[in-house]
Amino acid sequence: MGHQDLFWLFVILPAFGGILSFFLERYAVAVATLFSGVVLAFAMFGYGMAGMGVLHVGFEMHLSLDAVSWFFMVMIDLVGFVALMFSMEFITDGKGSFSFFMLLALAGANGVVMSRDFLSLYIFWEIMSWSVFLLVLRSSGEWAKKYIVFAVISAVLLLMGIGVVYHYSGSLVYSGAVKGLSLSAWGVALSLLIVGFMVKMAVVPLHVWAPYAYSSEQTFVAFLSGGLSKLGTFGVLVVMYMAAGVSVMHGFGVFKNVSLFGYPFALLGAITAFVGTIVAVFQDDIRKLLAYSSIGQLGYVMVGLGLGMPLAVGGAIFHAFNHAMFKSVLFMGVAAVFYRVKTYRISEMGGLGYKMPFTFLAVLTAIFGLAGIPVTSGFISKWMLYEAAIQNRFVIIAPLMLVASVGAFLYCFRILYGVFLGQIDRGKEEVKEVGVWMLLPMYILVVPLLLFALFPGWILAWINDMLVYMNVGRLSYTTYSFSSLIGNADMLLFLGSFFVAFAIAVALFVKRPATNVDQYDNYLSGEVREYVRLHAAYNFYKPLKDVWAPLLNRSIDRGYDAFGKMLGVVFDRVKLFYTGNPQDYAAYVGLAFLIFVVVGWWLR
Amino acid sequence: MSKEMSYRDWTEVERLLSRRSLWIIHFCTGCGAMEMPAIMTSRYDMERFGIMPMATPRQADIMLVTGYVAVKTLKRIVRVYEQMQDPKYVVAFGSCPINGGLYWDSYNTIKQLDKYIPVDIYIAGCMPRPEAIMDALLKLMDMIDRGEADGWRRYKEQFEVYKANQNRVFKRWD
Amino acid sequence: MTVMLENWLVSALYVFLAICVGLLFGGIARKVTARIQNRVGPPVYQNFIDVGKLLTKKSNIRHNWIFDFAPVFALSGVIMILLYLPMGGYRMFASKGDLILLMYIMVIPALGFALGAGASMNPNAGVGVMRALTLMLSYEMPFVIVLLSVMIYYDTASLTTLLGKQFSVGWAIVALPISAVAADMALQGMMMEKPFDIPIAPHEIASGPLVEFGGKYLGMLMLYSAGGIVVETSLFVDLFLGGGVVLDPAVYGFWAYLVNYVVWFALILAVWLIAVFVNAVFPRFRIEQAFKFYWKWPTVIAILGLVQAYFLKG
Repeated sequence: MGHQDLFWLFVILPAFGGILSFFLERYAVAVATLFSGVVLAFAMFGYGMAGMGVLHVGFEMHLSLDAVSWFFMVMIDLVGFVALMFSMEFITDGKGSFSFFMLLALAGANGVVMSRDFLSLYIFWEIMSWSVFLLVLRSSGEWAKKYIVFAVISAVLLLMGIGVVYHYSGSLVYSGAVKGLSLSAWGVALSLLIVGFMVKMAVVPLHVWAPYAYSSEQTFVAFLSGGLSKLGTFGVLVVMYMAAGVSVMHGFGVFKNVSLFGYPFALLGAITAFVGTIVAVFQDDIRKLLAYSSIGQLGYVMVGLGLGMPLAVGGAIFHAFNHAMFKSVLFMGVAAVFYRVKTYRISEMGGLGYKMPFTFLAVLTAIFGLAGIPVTSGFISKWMLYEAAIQNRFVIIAPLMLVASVGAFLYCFRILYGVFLGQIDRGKEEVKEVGVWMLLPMYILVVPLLLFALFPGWILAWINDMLVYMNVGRLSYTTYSFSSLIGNADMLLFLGSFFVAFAIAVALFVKRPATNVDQYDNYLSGEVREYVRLHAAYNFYKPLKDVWAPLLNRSIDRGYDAFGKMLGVVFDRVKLFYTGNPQDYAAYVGLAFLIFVVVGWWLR
Repeated sequence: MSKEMSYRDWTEVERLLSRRSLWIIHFCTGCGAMEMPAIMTSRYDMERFGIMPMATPRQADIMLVTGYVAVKTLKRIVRVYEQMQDPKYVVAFGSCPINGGLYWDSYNTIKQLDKYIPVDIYIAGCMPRPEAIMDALLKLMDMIDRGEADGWRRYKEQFEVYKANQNRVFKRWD
Repeated sequence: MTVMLENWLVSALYVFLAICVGLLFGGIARKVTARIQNRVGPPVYQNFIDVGKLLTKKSNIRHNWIFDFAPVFALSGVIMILLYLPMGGYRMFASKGDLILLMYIMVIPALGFALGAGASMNPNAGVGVMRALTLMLSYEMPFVIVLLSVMIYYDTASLTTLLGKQFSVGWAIVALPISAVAADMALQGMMMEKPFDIPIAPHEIASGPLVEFGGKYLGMLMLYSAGGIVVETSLFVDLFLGGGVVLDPAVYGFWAYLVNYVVWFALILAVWLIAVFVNAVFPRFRIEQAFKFYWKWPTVIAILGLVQAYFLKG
């Protein structure tokens, strides 16, 4: 399979599918699902299909499907396929434009992960970014405005970084960029590029667009948060380790075995994890809660990418994969719940788990992954990141990460209790389970979480290939276990003994009689009521909020707004020059002429 | 429902377990509740017999009806009694649950508690002193050991009779 | 094959003994508290009778299928923790899981319990779990820093290696006393003893998460909490007091295991008695006070311990 095929198959095919589905209004999303499924199938079986190659489409486009591209492409295409399958029943108006933009974003994402030179990276990045803007615009212009400001900032930073690389090395290809750049040039270029990608990853303090953009249509947000935010991860990974390489990173100076350039980013990632988690605890709107949770989890990924050791980078990639799986399931679960109860506020929901058991089970497994319970593979990625931080004695990053993980339990319980457990409110007793086309996508994504908990060696093998390809190092693992310099864990033994312990507990439990009682037959100090609202869901973490109140009152979002207003004041002053009076303009022209004459005489 | 064992078929071990670890529900219904702290604290320590106060009826075995029972209170007592799990026992303090006691001619109290919920043991007095309460609890433990404290069984078997009696007194159930 | 079977039987014995020890400790706590309050108190085997009574109740109330998660997950989780935790130097999965795995396994029973409590549809249960989670966030801050100090000082995250190093070099409480103090303060919250028994406050929120659990559910949850007592005190003993390993099993064989078990039992009893003494004389904090307390002085002490471990390591 040649490189032409890469381009046609993974970029043009989804785009064509998008255009096709735009014109079929009724079956648009189904057609889109089909196209994305085909792309996914080719991606999954195309491992090692083609090495690097050059395409001439007016400029030189270097594409390749090596270990790094393959992993990210399968991950993003899987999430896209599943999100589109869910959207078949969820999206009811504007189906054509929805599927067109989703497939266009998918095409752009595929292009980003396949490209091996900066120009095609930028082009596909912009295609993806603007498709996302148009999709957010479907929900609200205000949110789209916030998103596009940050997206444009990101694009400009990327362009500046690419410009610096091109100026010093004369080549836009990743492998060619290494030659000819001095260390200070790399410093500038890397900073610009990484900050540009950090905007997409929503790292604090560039995260303020995320809670707004993640409040759009939830199936699209499943793709955006689960799939497209990983493109920021991919960008940082590629720029730091494929374009620059470990030798350049270590050339900046080494601090406890870690590049001095990467350490501030790791620290920033740890702070992001902490801040994102703490703010997520107090949200009532479940979309914002999941958005801040995403910000926190991608902070973990940033930590791993900043610390350049193979265990850390491997943990970061694995955590990105796990996050794609469980966050998409969570957003789709929220979409399913919204489909039935038409509200996003947790304080208005409650008790839906008894009526929607399959949705509840899928969300429960995803929450296990988020919390890092060893039954799912979410634990393994967190384990790798912690061990990497501890074995090199990073005493600020490790406690922040661990405490953020405990904070994650708080909002995990809030999602489970506020939405699915507790009391069913009157008026919601007839809620039914969602259809099979909504359950199937969630369960497709749950499978990798459970599978890779038992067989971590499979996915660690792919990640190991990526690390070896980028010359970062090796991981140490077997099919069922993995280890680091200071500790190890064996998953087969764990799951086997958990099964045995579970059987023992069930045997002890089952033989005795139990009777079901109604939800109002509850200990209410002896009161008997027809109806009373019993769900403890409003302002759930109030004691914690009272303690954190002084810090929570400061908001980075309002800081940006204030900055924007200040700039607006400055620009209003500048606007005074445009008086609309032709005599003033004639005076300006004369003044300019005078200045040119003077300066030209002085420069003579 | 696995088996409907008669009370006499309990093994000695189960009786011992039930006897030596009775939990009372910390629900003070009337004026006799004044004597409850006395039996819990250092002088008449009831915890040495395994009797502990618990906060909810789901975890409790004994309900103490401490004194007179107004109709409003009876509603809550019945509700809490029904929320307890078998086997459960009721201990009635004072003369008011026996025959109305001090409030024998009041329109608002009930005169005989046994018509509404089954009582296992009465303690005479107005209010009984802590020594009397301790004595009654020990007697209850002996009754359990001999298999005579089966008020919960009576409630299940004669449920309609008890409900009819209750509904005659309550106007509404809220 | 027979070696593996023998290993499994010995581990089952250790787990069973651990739960019995936990119930015994509950009884000891009640007896000691009663003596402090100038009472007689129940016999030390009282908790066994309580669990037996609860498991033989004639009728058990449940609300829905999620309610059943609580006792099953709690008990299976606590059995898992006991398999991975060194008790008296013996551990079933000797080199198959380290401290971070153990910390995350400790979450499984708590999570199952929280799910069951949520499914009981009582707002007291929800409020109780909220307080328990906020308390966990509070004490985890100093505890995590203490764990980090120990892991950095001994350069390992595996408990077996840690016990081995303490056996050869000396107990960690001698080398890192400041961290041990912070760990004991965090332990008081972890075990939910006064002044930190906020989540299960009987008078404030009607037992919190336990409000609808009775009969066999409560019996199994009591077994879970008994196992929890052993897990938490044993964790402290393994981290700082050498795990009770005084004789080398490779040299002395069976007698080493017996002597180590007795020493371990004495050490966890000592740690438990410290907690019980504090429990008997203190009232209860509010949850904001607990949070502010934990993130102030114990965190400062833990950070001092971390600085000491970091610079002493060299």
